[in-house]
Amino acid sequence: MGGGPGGYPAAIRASQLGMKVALIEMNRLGGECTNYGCIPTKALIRPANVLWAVKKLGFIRGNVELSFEEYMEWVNTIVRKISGGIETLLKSYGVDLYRGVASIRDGETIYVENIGELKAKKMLLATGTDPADLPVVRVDGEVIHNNRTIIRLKKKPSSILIVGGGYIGVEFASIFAKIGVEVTVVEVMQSLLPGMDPDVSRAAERILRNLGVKIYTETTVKSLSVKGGEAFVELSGGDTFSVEKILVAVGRKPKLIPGAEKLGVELDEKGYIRVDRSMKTSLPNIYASGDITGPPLLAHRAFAQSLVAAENIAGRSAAFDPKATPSVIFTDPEMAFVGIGENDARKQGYKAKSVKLPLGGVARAAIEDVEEGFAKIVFDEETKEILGFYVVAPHASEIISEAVLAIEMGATLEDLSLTIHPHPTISEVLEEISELALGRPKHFFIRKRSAGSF
Amino acid sequence: MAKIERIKLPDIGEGIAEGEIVRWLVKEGDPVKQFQPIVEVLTDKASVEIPSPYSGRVIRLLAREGERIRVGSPIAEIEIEDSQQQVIAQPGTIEMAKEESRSATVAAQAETATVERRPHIRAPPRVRKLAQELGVDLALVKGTGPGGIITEEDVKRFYEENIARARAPQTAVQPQQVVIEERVERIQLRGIKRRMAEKMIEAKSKIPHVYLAEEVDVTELVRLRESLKSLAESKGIKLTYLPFIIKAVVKALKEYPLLNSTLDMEKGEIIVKKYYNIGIAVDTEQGLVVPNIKNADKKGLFQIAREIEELARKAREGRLSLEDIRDGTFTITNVGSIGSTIGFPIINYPESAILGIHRIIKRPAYYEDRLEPRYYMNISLSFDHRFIEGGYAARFLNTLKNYLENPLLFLAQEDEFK
Repeated sequence: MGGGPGGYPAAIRASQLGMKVALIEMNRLGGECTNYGCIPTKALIRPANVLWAVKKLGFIRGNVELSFEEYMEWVNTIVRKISGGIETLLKSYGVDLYRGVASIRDGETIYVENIGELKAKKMLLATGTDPADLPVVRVDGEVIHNNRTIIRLKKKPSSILIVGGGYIGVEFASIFAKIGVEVTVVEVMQSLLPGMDPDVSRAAERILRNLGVKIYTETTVKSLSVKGGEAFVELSGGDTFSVEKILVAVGRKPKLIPGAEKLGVELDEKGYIRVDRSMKTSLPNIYASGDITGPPLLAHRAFAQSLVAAENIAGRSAAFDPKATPSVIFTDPEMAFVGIGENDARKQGYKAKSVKLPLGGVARAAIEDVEEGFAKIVFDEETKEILGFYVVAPHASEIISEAVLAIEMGATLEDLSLTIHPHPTISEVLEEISELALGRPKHFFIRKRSAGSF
Repeated sequence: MAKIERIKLPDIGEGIAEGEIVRWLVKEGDPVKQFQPIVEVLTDKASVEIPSPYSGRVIRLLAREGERIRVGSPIAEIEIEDSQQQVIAQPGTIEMAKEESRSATVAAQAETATVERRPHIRAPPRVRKLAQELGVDLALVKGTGPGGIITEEDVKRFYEENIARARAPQTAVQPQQVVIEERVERIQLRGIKRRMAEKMIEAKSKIPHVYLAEEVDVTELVRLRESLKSLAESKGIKLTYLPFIIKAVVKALKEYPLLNSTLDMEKGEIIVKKYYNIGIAVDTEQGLVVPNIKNADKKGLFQIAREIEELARKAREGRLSLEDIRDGTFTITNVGSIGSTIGFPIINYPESAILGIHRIIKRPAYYEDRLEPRYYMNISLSFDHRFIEGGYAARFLNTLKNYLENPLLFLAQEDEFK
């Protein structure tokens, strides 16, 4: 149940393993990611970045103009292409697709609206999440939006208030700022990207401020009224202003399939389904994968869980047991992280240490015209094992994979520093920072004796 | 509150220290009722169904099919529900139960591994996948790769050395029975067949066998059986030659008791048995099994016939109980049923002798100076030469031959023919 990243890979794998598979989707294949999340936002980002780069370089002249309507249509074409691709793939694998709202009748019966009952020996619940809402700010799809309605805007707004400074809020803030919308971000916690490494949070704040975004932290929306296609906002700090649009990006809530709770599927205190390493729920023959199993809510994590669930459903033995799951925020420059921070590593008993390298040590960064950027590596001082990696840099979303592999393979600083990276690329940052951690950087001068202090 | 109980391999019979898991009758996740058979275990040459001592749900199978388990070792974990509550309606307890069962499994590995749990695991994804498939807890595995990284070989070695005794993977992945390689087919020796191999080696390596053979004129026996056949049929009995042979053997054994005994080398004693449990070798699809007729000396011909039928049927259906195969004192095997003229069987250790019987052949022969059709059967005897002299064994075989040639001598006391 669910045709997003938590569901459709399982359908394909189960089919590869010789099972008879039915997949039920109430909306569009690809789920939140393909239709309202990862894909459309990244599609929105690329033209915005191009526009911004031209503007920033300053020597490409002429009348460069963004046609908002064509821009949004281009994004939707990409979404339709990817969603359609998933459908073709599922059909090729012989997966029976059912479109409709499903509910669970009992341990082996699912009812699909307007279709009827389906019987299954095993079930996979991959129904994902819905956007969370705020009591003060009700989404109407006109003035007040969430991530699902905002991508249907027909006209470029002149101003937008983004409620929530998490990664969704930060990504939309940079998109809108770059295409010339006046952006304000309100975050209830003391920094943007709460819960992230403080260096990363600070970088996000500087990146947005460089784009002209107005940021309020430790602030909430006190009151709000919508009049004449405009919203009048009063913040908890006392500031008042009017905006054309509001985007609510205050988190997610689990979307449980009707009947699951009644059947006795065990949930955690936030309402996400509890699963073990094999993606089994508390009930025999019922599995869950993807966002419905709780945070971190990441499509690539859902893919991996989905496959594990399918393997176990088919009677094999597989575990969702990653050492490292990367996260990426598609700001400009991008931010990416994997593994554990220094404090967490210490708590886990490692002799953890970290070093930070400003991006100036990498030649390519100068070409990419980066104002903000750094890398940070966390390692065990004794074994030199790499435990965590943080990077704020152009192409961070791509180079992070090397760090993920390094952590999964148990690689050490020596391994990374002796791996030849192509020049000039941002990926050199991995080689350089490993050398720095070992006290012998080639493009960086260590003033004091201890490695990594600067 | 749900709680986890570990089921241990119960003591299934005196002196039996271990059993082989032949087949699981439940899967992980299955609900079970108290006394429901959950696993088929093979000990000696009987397979025994072990019932669940509890009602609940099977959380984890700790032994894989084909694995040998010592009595008292855990074989499964069962989650038991409280009588008022259903397992599925207990938020908050299941996760805990899972944790418990996980740590219990870990404990089982730790016991055998004699290493400490490592706080940090360094193993590449493919090694972790292998560990998952084999049910290996990586925290217990010592890595031999660079910087202590756990390699595939480390996991395989740990599995061979520890898991084979301690536990098995978490799912019902069937271990492959037959592995096809390029030019050979490898068939796993399992269950009765493996037990057979072990017993044959034991018998042949411990007992110096000596062999004797005789030709027996069974014409009288053939006639006698013919005349009793219809009477037996009226009682619903299929009368073969075997019950006659058993009766004759028992009578001869009473005269030559060393052939119904066991040599205890450690104590330097011969244990002469005053009871006559005559084993009959049965060829089944699973392998050779030897149930025995208990106290054959006290049973009549027809009763023995009935019991043979029953034991043979149970053997073919794989339903022999431990009782059926235990405590044999002497064994008879039909070597010639498929056609060999003479064969010498291996003694069913720790017995001291085994009798091989062969096909009955009709041929012309001189009998009291007249050429007439007569019936002949070869018999062979393998005996333990550590304590039985050749002459003693030969006299036993002659006595047996005499009884088989003159069946009235041993059937005289029968009172079943009325």
